[in-house]
Amino acid sequence: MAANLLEVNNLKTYFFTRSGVVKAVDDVSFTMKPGETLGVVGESGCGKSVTALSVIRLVANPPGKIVGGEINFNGENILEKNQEEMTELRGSKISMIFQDPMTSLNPVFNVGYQIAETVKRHRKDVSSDQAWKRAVEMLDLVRIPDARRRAKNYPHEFSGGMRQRVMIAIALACNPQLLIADEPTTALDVTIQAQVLELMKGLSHEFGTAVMLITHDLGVVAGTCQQVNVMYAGGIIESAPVKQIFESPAHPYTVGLLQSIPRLDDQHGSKLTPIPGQPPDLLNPPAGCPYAARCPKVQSRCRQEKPRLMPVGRGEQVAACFYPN
Amino acid sequence: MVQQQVEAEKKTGQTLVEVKGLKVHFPIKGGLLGRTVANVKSVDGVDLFVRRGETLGLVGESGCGKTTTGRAILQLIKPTAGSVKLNGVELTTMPSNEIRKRRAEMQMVFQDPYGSLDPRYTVGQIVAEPLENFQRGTPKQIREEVAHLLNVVGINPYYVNRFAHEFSGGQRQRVGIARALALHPSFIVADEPVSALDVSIQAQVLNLLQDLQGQFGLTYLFVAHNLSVVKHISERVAVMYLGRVVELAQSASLYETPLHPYTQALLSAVPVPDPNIEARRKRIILEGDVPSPVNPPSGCNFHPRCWKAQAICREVIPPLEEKQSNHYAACHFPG
Repeated sequence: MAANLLEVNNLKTYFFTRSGVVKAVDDVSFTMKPGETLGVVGESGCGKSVTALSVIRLVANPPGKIVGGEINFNGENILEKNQEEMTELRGSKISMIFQDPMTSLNPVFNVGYQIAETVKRHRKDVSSDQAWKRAVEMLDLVRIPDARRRAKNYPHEFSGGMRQRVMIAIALACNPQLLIADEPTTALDVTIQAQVLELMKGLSHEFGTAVMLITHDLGVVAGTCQQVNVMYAGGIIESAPVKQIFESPAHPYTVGLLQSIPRLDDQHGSKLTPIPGQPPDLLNPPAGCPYAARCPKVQSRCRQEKPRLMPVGRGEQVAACFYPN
Repeated sequence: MVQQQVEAEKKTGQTLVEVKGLKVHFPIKGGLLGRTVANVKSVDGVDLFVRRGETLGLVGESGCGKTTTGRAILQLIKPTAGSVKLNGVELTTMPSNEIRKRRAEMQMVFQDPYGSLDPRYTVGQIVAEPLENFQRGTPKQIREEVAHLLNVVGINPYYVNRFAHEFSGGQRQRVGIARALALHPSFIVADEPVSALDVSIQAQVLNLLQDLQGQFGLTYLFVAHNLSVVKHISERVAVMYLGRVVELAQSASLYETPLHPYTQALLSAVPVPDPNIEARRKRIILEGDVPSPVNPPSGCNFHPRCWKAQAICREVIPPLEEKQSNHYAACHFPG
């Protein structure tokens, strides 16, 4: 078995706000192998983006702060690195693409320059000409037609889907080992989403890049990921290979989530089973299991004690629940 | 009682809303004199009808004109051309004071539960406003009606004096629905009512909309980009592309045997939350992007991206025709 590329142990990222401490990520642990595609799913505010931002150390400080845990990337603890070392790492070994392709690019530079800039920043031996060539090559790779000419275009001359592809080109220009994609297709239409996901799948396979794909769309996860972490209220509540998440979900929240989405292969007229209530307020999280208030299987123990991730006896599947399915 | 009536009307298939040749063009002004240099043809000849008591889903990608169609039907945007009939009455030629009276019959639920509620009004005031505008009763009666409406949409009337920001997204959307219901309309345009909500909350609101339809005998035009959601809630579905309806059919028949190539591509692109199905599925990946509605392609406006396109597609606009029973498509080579 290959060594882990990324090991996150007991990560705690808190936000210190005027109304109190928000435990956005509270005691999160997971690992990623080289070349693996990991899906991180959950609803808004469950901590999936903050987990990703913590890994690349981009949590806005203040108000956010990583208060505990360790993040080992290639065996080195990222949290012990200084700013300079982090800048070296970002864009070369770990890159990130964001949800909004409209605001992630700089409007006053052409896209070729923005790709070349990344290459030159990390490869001191590369000349400007070579960097530009690499930029054109990357644009070609993300299937921008007529890449040589288009490299001289500015971000506003591209459509949303193409801008996201430019972002992918920038992110992959230095062959990173880990690509963090935070809702990369949420702002895109389904047909364009299909194009972009197909591209990401192909490229990560080709370069052996590990991908952490953050999304709220379980359909996207089913089609692209090998391993899935389900997050709820700042913690991972279930983690399993993708098949098991969908075929035999163990945590009642995962079950509820799967039952509440309308599916294309449903019969019309079937009723959805929504999850009652709302996620807890992370300013005052409940004492026991964070899902207890909405859970159909709740017992008195769930309200007092917080369950930890435990194997549920089906291979690599783990769930944070006292009474898993 | 109402429900039986609705069922009966559904069977006879009486048309509540009829739209013919609807066009909405937005002018682009340019030059020194501010002349109109071009038009954004947001909606460019939409034909559809909504039967009493049914839900018609209107789907399409961003910029295809689905929201504009919904708004133009309610006369919130003045259509450039075409006809819209509600209950057999032509709305497009009606003077605005007449339309204002008609608004009691047709209401809208908006996409953004944050922007569509006035932050300085309490929830009670928001729901009471339409009742006051139409003088539906004394202040006391209105207060009671507001409490009743909040109850119906699943909000405790105890919270009547709270402001919108004190509620979560799903609850705000419920308030928006209560406001739309206040005047007992027959027709509601729901414009992406759940797309801003998380999935677990989305299911709550979808179920509420379905329950209310039975309870109040409502007819919905459900505008959304999420095909799974639309399939779930609609009896019939209309698919839009670049300002036109390209396919209109019973939901089951549209999803099982889509006739228009665009619908086929669209459906194949929707991810299904099941890894086994995903592994077996064949995707039709469309090349390129949606063309600009300022200068749409000639003939069938899908032809530059269509794998079936022939010479005729570039020249002749295919009309929306009944290709199979109750299954309409605008394509020269359907199937």
